Amino acid sequence: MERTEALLIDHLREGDETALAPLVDKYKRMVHRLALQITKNHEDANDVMQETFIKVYQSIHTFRQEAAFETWVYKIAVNEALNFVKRRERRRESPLSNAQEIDFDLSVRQQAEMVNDPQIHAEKAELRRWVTKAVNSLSLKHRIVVILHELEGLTHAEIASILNCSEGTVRSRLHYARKQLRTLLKPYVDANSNI
Amino acid sequence: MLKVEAEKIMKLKCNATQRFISDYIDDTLSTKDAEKVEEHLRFCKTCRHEVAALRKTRDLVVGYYVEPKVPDNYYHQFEVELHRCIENKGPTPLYERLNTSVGQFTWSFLTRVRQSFGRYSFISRNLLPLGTLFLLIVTGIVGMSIYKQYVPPHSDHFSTRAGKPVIAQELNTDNDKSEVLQGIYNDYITKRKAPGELSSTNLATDTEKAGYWKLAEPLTTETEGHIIVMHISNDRSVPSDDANSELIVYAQPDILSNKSPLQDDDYAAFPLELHVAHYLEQYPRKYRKSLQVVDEMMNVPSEILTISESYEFSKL
Repeated sequence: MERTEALLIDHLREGDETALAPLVDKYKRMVHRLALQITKNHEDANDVMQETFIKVYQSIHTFRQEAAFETWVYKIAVNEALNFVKRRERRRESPLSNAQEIDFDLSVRQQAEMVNDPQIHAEKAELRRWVTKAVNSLSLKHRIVVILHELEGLTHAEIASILNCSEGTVRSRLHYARKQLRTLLKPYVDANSNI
Repeated sequence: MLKVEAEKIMKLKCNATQRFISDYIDDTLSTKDAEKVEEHLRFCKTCRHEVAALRKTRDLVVGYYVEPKVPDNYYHQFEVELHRCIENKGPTPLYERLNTSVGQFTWSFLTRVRQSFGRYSFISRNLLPLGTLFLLIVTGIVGMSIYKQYVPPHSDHFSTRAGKPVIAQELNTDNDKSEVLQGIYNDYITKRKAPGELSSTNLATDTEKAGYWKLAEPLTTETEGHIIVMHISNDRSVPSDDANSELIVYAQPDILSNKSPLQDDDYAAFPLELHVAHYLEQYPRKYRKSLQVVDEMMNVPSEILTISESYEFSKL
């Protein structure tokens, strides 16, 4: 019998280790995606993901059901990722070389376009590279807000809770980040293409 | 002219509108603010263009940002690794387990109470600190009682020097000790009533019984100790208050284990005097010398001892 998330959380809180696996299965992609987008490094993202779930396992008793479990996991993952980035910056290691090595993951639809219309595919591939590069070039605090809001679909309140800041700060950062992105993506924003 | 009219109608200016644009394209503005922005946009081409540009930027990011590629079998390997990592962490340290247990207990306690008193927001808001405080108090009380049970009380009236026993510990009124001391005391009472029966034969008998005499009354906290003054030599002409010729036995552990406090060749180990001492009372001046001996031999400060009764050999 499949256990609901609330039940899994209760079991995990009671020390049932088997309840962790379904939760990991549900949130692993989200956590990994977030970790990779923040750290821009495969190894760090892997470590962040591991630390996040270990922390979930060890700190489950501190989880209050006033917030969604998903938001709580986000919060742990973001904090872990930020810690990794800070540690790396202290070691003065540049993430750029690793970031450039990250491969793009094309969806089935995108792969079909590539086969049917190579020219459109080439244009879109270029656009994807630009957009991804533009997002990755944002400062960390703006990038996180863009990732959480635009890509993960979290509300301002949820992001504020994760980042321990006010909603006003989140709105302000998001607006600033969008304006930055608009500048970076100006050729595509102003063009009346059929992309 | 038209522009001036439009500016009069518009409640928001461009700068103010800019602040709302991001929320406007996200549809997170209140109805009232959204109407103000829309009103402004009807007359302001620049802001309209800005809204369209930011909306397109957002759509580009949402539609074209590419998630990093994950190698095949990556997540499976991760799950295996995570499982191994959690297992390899070994047993959780005691304080973490304790923390977890307390957390789990507190959580279930709070959940149940919250379910029962959910509508009392004050209680539910403050349950965590209150529950924690309650647990701390209970833990403190239990810890103190355990501590008191296993650690003997320390008396300020006695001190321990050079590894000698603290007298107060030896005066705990357990049954065995009372029994031993009672026998010694009874023996003294008997001899006190019939002094004429004392002879060399009796002396030998008494010597054999040196370690078995008992006191009649059990020691209490008020009766801090019984000082048994014994002659070491067989010479009864030695005055009883001569400290040099006495051995002061103060509830010695040897007596309590039914062993004579004296050596086998101490033939005249005969009880000469018995003083019942109470502490924190004034003692007569004439016993001060004996108490000095107690101080020297037993590490018991003479200032805190008082002799309330005395049985002297001459009376026996």
